[in-house]
Amino acid sequence: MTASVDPPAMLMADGISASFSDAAGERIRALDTVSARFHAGSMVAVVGPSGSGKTTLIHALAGIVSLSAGEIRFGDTVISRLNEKKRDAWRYQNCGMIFQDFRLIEELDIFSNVILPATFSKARVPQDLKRRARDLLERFEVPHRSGTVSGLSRGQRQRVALARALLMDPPIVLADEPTASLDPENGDRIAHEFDRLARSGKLVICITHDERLAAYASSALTMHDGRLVHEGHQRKVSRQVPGIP
Amino acid sequence: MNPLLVIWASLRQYRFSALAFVLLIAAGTSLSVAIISQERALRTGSARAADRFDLVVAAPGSRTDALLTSVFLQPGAARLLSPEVTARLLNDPNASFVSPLAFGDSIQGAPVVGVTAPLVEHLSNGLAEGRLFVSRQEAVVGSASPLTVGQKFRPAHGVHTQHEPEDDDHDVDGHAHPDTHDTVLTVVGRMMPTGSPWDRAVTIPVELVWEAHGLPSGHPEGSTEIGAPFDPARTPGIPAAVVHAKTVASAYKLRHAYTTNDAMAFFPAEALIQLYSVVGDVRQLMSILAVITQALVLLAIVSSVVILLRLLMPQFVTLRALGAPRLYVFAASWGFMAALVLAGVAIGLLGGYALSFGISHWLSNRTGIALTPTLGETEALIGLAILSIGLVLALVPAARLQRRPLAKAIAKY
Repeated sequence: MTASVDPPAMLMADGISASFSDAAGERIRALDTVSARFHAGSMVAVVGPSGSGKTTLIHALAGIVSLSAGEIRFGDTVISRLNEKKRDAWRYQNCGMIFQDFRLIEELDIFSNVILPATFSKARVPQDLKRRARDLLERFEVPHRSGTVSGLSRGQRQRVALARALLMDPPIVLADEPTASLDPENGDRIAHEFDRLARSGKLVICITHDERLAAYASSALTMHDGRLVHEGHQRKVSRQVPGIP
Repeated sequence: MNPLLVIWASLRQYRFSALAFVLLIAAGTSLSVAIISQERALRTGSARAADRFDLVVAAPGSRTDALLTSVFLQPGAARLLSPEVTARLLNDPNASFVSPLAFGDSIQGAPVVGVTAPLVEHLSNGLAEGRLFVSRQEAVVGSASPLTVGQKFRPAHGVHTQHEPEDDDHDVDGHAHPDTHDTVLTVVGRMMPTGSPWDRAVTIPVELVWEAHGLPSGHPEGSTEIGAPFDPARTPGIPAAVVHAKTVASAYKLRHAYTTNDAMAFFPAEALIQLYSVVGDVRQLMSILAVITQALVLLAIVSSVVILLRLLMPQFVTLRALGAPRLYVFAASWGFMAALVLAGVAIGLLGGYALSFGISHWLSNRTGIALTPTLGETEALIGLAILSIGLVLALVPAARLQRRPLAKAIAKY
């Protein structure tokens, strides 16, 4: 996000555009010259109607989507100029991804889902990462039991996805509708956790329609038809969720 | 990097499809392996069974028929050697021994064969129990015969009779089956295993067979003598004789001497080779069928690979979205298929061996030829070929996964 007295941005989008072909083969411009700066220690809410380009923006920032114009920088690295293989490696090292549909591996148990990213780079998952996975599950109050994730509630699945995203301690957390269809209590848990992550120095960018979650954000980007139509700072809500430290 | 967690999860998630896939490969592999293993078992088993028969002399005709009758004791309507040729052959001084073979009787469905004692000694290479017969009322049984040493029995006419052996009391009271001979024989010895149908046979002095069928006994009237020399004037014709030559050279001389218009002499190996060439044609046909089966299996593998990987696509897209290296996703996809192919081939090899073992058991029971199926180099190569093709085919979808842009994949899956 932009700021009047700009400290160096952790992540920066500069005039980025991206387009796709729809089922009929027509080109659809999903992002249209979007520019934004994102700072460490902040939580940014991306809002806007369905089809406005919010998810494409998040995916572009994560290096999933190839740009047709503009560039994305992470410090001195121009992410958008990297090939897909290097973008994957960058995302693995720097981004914790939380997808709207969680994208958990159904046949893995809870713990294995959380430590999964560690297996991408390690032949044997180190004890400290296993301990961290257990700590995260305890912190998010997910029942640490054997068995697949299939039987978990939506709220529990969301928290497993969050634990997985945080396992490798990434500086950036990108979340797509993290509180969608969660009950108020679970929604508050997630919002509070994101707030805590931002306070710990991480950059949290989340797409949301949830006003409660957006209320925690330090700034909001409003998207419409692939364009960034409004960006603004807001006074963060800082409240303690009952039962959550 | 360790994709085993994902591979294991994929196998668990689609366990029934994976099991069907494994069974498909296993079925194709085991059929091919069983055909080849069984053919080899038959070849070695039959060669081993014929090993102790140096030279066979029979009336002119089919060598295969003569071989099947003499070595494998299969009933056949063979012509007889003339009494003159028979007498000359049985008394031939160039042979170490010549044993006539006289068929036509049985006990409990097992053939009773009229022979001379030296043949029994030669085939058995020393008896397992008892001694050789020394009179016309004595018999030596094959290693697998249910008759025991000391047991008395009456042979029956024909090869179909399932007449039960009788104990001592019944033998002498005259209540015999109408098809049985009058003569009561006593088992005096048991042969060592030969791996041939002779293991189930009962050998008796040939003179008894001749006498029982109203023929001269090969010796002066009233004589109780058995074995060579035979009286040329009282020697009947025989279906075949087994000749044991003193030397290899004399074996060839005897073969030459009895290859005439009236007789046919051959080494069993010659007839076996002829038989193998016929079997070889069948094997070729079976091999073609096996190849077609394998082609169908491979086609099924390709289809299954496509279907299974389509099912697994969301999982692989998730891995990539989380930043998994392409090699990791490739290894997870390929490893999943490789595990199935490997399991299929391994089960197929074991299944093929088991199938071959079952067929061998059944054939051994039917023919008496000891068949020992083994897994040889050819079967290993077949397994390796199916494994290699499967592993290579598994590369295709894994490679396709690599080329699919993540943004499109994540939108679709």
